[in-house]
Amino acid sequence: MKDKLITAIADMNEEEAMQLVRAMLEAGEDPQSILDAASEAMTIVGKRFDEKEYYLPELIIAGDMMKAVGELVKPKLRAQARSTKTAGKVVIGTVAGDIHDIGKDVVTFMLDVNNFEVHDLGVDVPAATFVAKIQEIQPDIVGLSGFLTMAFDQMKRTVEAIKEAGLRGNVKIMIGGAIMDASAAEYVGADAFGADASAAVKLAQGWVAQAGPRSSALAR
Amino acid sequence: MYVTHDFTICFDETQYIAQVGGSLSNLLARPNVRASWVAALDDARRLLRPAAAWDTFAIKEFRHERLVLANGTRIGGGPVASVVAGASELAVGVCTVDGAISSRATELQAEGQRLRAMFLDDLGSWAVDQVRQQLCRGIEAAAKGRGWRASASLSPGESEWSVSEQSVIFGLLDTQPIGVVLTESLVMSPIKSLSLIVGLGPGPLGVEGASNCDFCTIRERCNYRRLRIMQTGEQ
Repeated sequence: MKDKLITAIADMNEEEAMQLVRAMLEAGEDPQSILDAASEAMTIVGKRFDEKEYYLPELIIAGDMMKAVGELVKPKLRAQARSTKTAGKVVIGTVAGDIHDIGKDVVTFMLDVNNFEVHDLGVDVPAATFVAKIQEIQPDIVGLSGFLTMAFDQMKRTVEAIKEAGLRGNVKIMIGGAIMDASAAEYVGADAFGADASAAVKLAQGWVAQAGPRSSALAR
Repeated sequence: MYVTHDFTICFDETQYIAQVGGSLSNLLARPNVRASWVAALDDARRLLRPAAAWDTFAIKEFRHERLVLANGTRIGGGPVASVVAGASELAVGVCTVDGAISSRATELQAEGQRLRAMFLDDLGSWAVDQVRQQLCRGIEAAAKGRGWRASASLSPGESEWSVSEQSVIFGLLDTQPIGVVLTESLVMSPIKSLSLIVGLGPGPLGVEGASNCDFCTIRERCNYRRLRIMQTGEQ
């Protein structure tokens, strides 16, 4: 049934997926393994998106399915006194002067379904807003998104503002956007760039794994 | 300065599906997805307020990659001077479909109606591109009426033309009548707005008959360009 659930979610069969989840719960299936299966399906959805087989509507529908699966298994998880672990905290936004949000939204979605706690600040976000949010929630990772060439300098200013606030040592910073590459990451003072949403997730997972348990901040 | 609200916005489902990709056609066969699409279309048609403000300015001289207008304003950089080369006047315009669409999309997102919000946001972007196309055709027709020619249009941020030039455009036009302002970070508000320039003159101009897509680095993978080709046949 687990494989069927993965296929149902990955193929966008919402009704079948929900029926399977209910049946699995009734059959006494471990709720955590149901969530794991749903996460596996989301990885397939992400891959299909990267390969241009899927577009944003599928990502949104898959996200809604993931949410619905979560709602169904949550009571059982609570009963087992287990909780889904948060992989890490991420603050993400499109830097000031840029309003492009599709790439950022996809990365946000992919991080979210991979158990990251994502705080999306939206678009045209001033450096001071990033700094305030970092101070507030103490994330492990900061994601700066930008599509325009002018985003380079704004990203640099944002990284500098984070440094000036004495927070740079507490966070890993990744940048993303159509024109971003390793040299841009170096120019703006980020730790790395994500070529696409999957790469961004892998980067984030790698950094968190490197840093160990969630309680320890990611030191540079 | 000219202010016009006379634009016709057309949303063709077949064109939208073709732009997004074949899979959307299957998704739209599902009642819940279709309901989101229909609701977004209704929202868009109800909330769209297309408008544009534009004017023409005499060009005093071309100085390297910039133009000096008769009123002393300097504008240009990137490909501007080469695209409008030979022009006697510069048409400058700002167009919008108003902010109600974006506000509604944000509301829907907050309500968890993410698919409907995405459709609505897409429709807003598609609509403002249609306003841009119609404005350019209007400027071109006005030029032809004088026996003049029009260059390709360009927008700050396209190609190598710096977005910082938005402030020059907004310094030339009073955009209050169409409700568009430029924020400190040089972003137009409402977001579903576009600014542009077109060179005008009696003789041959630097680049004619090309679209702004020809100067854009993402032309091969831009969904709105695909939509534009489907609607107008323009390459």
